[in-house]
Amino acid sequence: MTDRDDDRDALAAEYVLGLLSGAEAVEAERRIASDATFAAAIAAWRTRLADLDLTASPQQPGEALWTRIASGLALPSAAGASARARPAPPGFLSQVWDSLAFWRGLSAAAVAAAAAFVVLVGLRPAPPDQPAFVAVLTTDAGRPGAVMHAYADGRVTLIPLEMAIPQGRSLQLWSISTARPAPVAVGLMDQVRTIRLDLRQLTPDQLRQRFAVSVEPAGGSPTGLPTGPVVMQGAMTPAN
Amino acid sequence: MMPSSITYPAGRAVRRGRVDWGLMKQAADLDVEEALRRCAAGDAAALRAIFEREAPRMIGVAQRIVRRRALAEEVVQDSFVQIWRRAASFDADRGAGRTWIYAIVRHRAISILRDEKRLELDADGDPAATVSEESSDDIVTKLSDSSSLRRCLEHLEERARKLIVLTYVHGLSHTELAAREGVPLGTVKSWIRRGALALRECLG
Repeated sequence: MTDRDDDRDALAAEYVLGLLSGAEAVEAERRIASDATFAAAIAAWRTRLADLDLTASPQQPGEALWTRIASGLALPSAAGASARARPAPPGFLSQVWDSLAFWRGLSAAAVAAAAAFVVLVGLRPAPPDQPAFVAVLTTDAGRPGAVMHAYADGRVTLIPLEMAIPQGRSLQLWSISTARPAPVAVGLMDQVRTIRLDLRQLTPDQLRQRFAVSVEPAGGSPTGLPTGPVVMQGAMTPAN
Repeated sequence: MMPSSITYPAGRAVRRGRVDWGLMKQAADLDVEEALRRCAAGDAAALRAIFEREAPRMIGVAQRIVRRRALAEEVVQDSFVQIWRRAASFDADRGAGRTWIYAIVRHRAISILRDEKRLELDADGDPAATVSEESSDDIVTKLSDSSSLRRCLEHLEERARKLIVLTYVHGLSHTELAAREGVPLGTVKSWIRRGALALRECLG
């Protein structure tokens, strides 16, 4: 080891220990970006000292912490609006949403879709725009189980927060609208992951109402109506 | 035909089923590197999985530095935002995913400690919501017997071991260390430098 190596490693150790002053730390961060050897020295120190993190006593977080994180990341949740939440989406989206002409234009496709629903898992890129409506589906215990975003063009994403699927079963998502005589199955989940749905067959009024998730036999309800317990539910509300 | 488990449309409310979260909990073990890759791909469930698995210890690590529970939660909240936004920059060749996560937590905690100086502003805070400082010996004892870090720390000179451990765990500054030890700043710096280089030789 040369003196230069020692100087570099000692500086990296001071940075990782948190001993550098503000200006020194900024300078070190600049060097991390430009000097691969220094960046490697930093990484080596982090790995050497990492076991010390394991000596901290775990402290159980409240559910509110997750809600704040989710809203800080604009995984919006009615349960946890925070000052860090992104600005409200532009009003024009909800205007489009409410526009009769817009929905008339879609009605041909909607009829073709009929009662059937289309679940597109992982095929679409993440929607780049802001949702027009959001729903937090809460569990029996009042905990946020999933967040749904509905976009003005009828795309819907469902992001699981606290959700588990019993062995050999599926979770089924239902749209519940006072405008229709029975719940309509709109999605099926065999694994806990974000799913994207195409709900253009639902009218805005239908989309604005309730969604519920029930436990069903693998592959979905055999009757076309919910047969198992409802594990979470919630109502869509305007995102702005 | 009315489904048995949903009251509809009257009552609006869907009858709520019972969920045994314990039974249905996903496997406790988490591949953090894989979860970070999924975060980079926009999978919020992966972030939630990291939260489930790591948030308690992240709060513990942050609280040893910022002391107050509320501030520690704020550190962890900020850290999750960073994890989500920077997941794509995580490089598994540079170290473990968990190490990357805790580096973010400590970095955030130390900058709150150093820059914002909010700790002094909360003298009337609830003492139960704060943690007291642990001694370096207690911390070293908590390291696993099989940890080479433990073995190497135990081989360091006592004062170097103490300074390195207290700095890492509680975020003490050079100035604070010098005041505690009653020695000049330069002495503290050179003890730490020598200790760090000895630790490097021992750990490789």
